[in-house]
Amino acid sequence: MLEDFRSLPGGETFSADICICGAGAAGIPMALELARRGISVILLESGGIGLEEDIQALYEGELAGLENTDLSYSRLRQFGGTTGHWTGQCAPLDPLDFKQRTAVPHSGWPINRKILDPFYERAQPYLQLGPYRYSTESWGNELSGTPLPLDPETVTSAVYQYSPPTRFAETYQGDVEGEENLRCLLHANVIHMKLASGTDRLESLTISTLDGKKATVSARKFVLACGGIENARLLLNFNTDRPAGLGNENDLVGRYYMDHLNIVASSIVLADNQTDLGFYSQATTEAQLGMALRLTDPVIEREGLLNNAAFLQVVWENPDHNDDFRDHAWLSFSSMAKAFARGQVPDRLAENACNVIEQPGPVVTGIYRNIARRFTGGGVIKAIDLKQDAEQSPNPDSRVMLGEDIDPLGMRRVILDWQVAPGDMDSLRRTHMILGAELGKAGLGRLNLGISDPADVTQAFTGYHHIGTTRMHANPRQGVVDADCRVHSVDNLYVAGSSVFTTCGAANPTLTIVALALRLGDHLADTLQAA
Amino acid sequence: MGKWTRRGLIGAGGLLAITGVAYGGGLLACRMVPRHTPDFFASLPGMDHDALRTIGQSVLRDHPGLARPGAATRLLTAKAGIERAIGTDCPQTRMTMVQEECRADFAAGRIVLVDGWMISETEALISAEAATA
Ligand SMILES: Cc1cc2nc3c(=O)[nH]c(=O)nc-3n(C[C@H](O)[C@H](O)[C@H](O)COP(=O)(O)OP(=O)(O)OC[C@H]3O[C@@H](n4cnc5c(N)ncnc54)[C@H](O)[C@@H]3O)c2cc1C
Repeated sequence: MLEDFRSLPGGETFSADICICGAGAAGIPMALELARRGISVILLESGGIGLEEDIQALYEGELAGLENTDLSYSRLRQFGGTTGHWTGQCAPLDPLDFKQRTAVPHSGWPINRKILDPFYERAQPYLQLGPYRYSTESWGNELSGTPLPLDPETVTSAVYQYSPPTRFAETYQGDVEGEENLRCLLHANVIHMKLASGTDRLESLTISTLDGKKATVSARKFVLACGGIENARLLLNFNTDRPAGLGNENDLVGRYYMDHLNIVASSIVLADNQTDLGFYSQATTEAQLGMALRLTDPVIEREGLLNNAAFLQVVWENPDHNDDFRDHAWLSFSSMAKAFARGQVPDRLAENACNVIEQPGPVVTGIYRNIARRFTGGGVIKAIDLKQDAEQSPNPDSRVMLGEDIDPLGMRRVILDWQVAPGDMDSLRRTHMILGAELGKAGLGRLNLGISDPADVTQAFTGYHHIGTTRMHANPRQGVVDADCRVHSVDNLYVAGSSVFTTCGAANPTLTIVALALRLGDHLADTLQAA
Repeated sequence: MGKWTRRGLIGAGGLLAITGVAYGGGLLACRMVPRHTPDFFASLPGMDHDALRTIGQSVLRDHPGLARPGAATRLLTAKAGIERAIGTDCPQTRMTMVQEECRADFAAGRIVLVDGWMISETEALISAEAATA
């Protein structure tokens, strides 16, 4: 069931077995699965079906650290959440990411990849991905082309899959509407959480529309699934029962904020400038795949490096082959063109059309180049740039905090102090140096190192991934949630989303977000049904 | 992109990474042979002398000791593979030998960073030679 809280009477108390706050990549699959197990669920969503500027503005805040990021554009406050403009690149975290690594302080999850594997597998269809196969071996002879002949003891191919990308609003609106046990309230902003007096149990929460209509929601268990920054912001704001904020007894909420270091740096000149690189981007009958160069686990561990997967971004001799026109306007244009070609009306037609109208240049270039390529044939490779979302190390001083500014709902706005340590950049530099040496050893080409020494952290841009602010750790002094994603100090409050990641690895987060959400859903259903 | 122009880099990359290295080795080898053909590069098709010299100048800037007469040559001839290449007449074989030496440098970590480019010690010495010539 999907309802607009604005059209319901205020002052009511809604109740359900489970209350989930936030209808994004984490909230929607969890809500659907719980409801299908016969559990009553209330799903609270701040936004409406489409973008509404006054609601989106609730995400505004202040940057205090590295400025190559942003708070509002990188998140969407509407039904479906930020999947309304994600790109769809997916991979599970590597087994190594879950380990405690001596070279990476504060690393080590209380769960491992084996535990998550079955949930990753279940998460794949939610993101409209292919089968759960993320190694070249598992794809076997379905793969075409050959990888660069680099020493397999040192360099391997990291496999990624591409979601269409799934827009959760369009894809799951019908399912949410049709699910009897699920009641999704739009325009229902969670503004307060209340503990039962003298206990560690959450009793209820308060929701409000932007113009002040309020209601209470009670449930046996509550889940916060409002995104990697907002989860921390809300917990810090909920400070009537616990002065430092809910779950913040050990001053951990908001700390260890990580993003992927989005960097295009270092380039390769190949000995053979017509090398076939088709292997690195290909489609099988079941999935769209992308491959990246990654150092093997033993090398990463021996060298004490952070994880990284470097995608090969080809710079062609003939600019007609280059894809540098692919900005937002082009993506909007191509999604509209694809929809029209299928005889459908494109999703978010007005939004997409305006993107194109406001910036026609890249679209014209893109159309011209796509036509020109048909006549120019195979290209000559001028260079290959390495593009990556590199891992950053967990750092307690990199954090989400509350500012003094108050939003229209009476909540303190966020301050994001994103810090990138020079060591994070040094690790990437060393990674590229190893790749450069391997390319030389194999006689394939030469690498120009694009990461400066001493490190210049302003080379790093946001990967739009907000990670670590309610980190998972078995020890309440080192993490906000436990291995079940339950807030250590609140009996029935759970967190879903990338805020629970202990480390960020190199993989994009959404597949792991959905896998963890499905795992949490199972845990909640099992414990409720056992009770 | 450092101080080298894109064209120069591509030239240099091609030069150093593939045949150029061999030609450089060939150049060196021929230098060892007492003849009056000092501008050996000029007789090799496809060579980008400017690129090689540009790289060499950068190498000399970072390692001024190599500018001393014969310094780079001595270090090069101390390499067994180069020694063998010098004694080879066939340009193709010579090319392969120099390439092998470059690969061996990378495998052994004998890598020189010049204006951001990771090149083998052999390549650095050959280009330093070219710059001092
Ligand atoms: C441009 C861009 C490209 C991206 N590309 C990729 C990619 O290629 N691969 C990848 O893995 N990830 C990518 N991401 C990240 C991806 O979008 C997020 O990881 C994912 O959407 C996070 O899911 P979530 O459910 O935790 O948060 P969200 O999807 O943001 O959902 C949170 C929901 O909570 C709601 N909410 C917030 N506050 C409240 C409140 N107080 N009360 C009620 N509801 C509230 C919001 O309205 C929203 O619907 C990209 C992001 C951006 C911006």
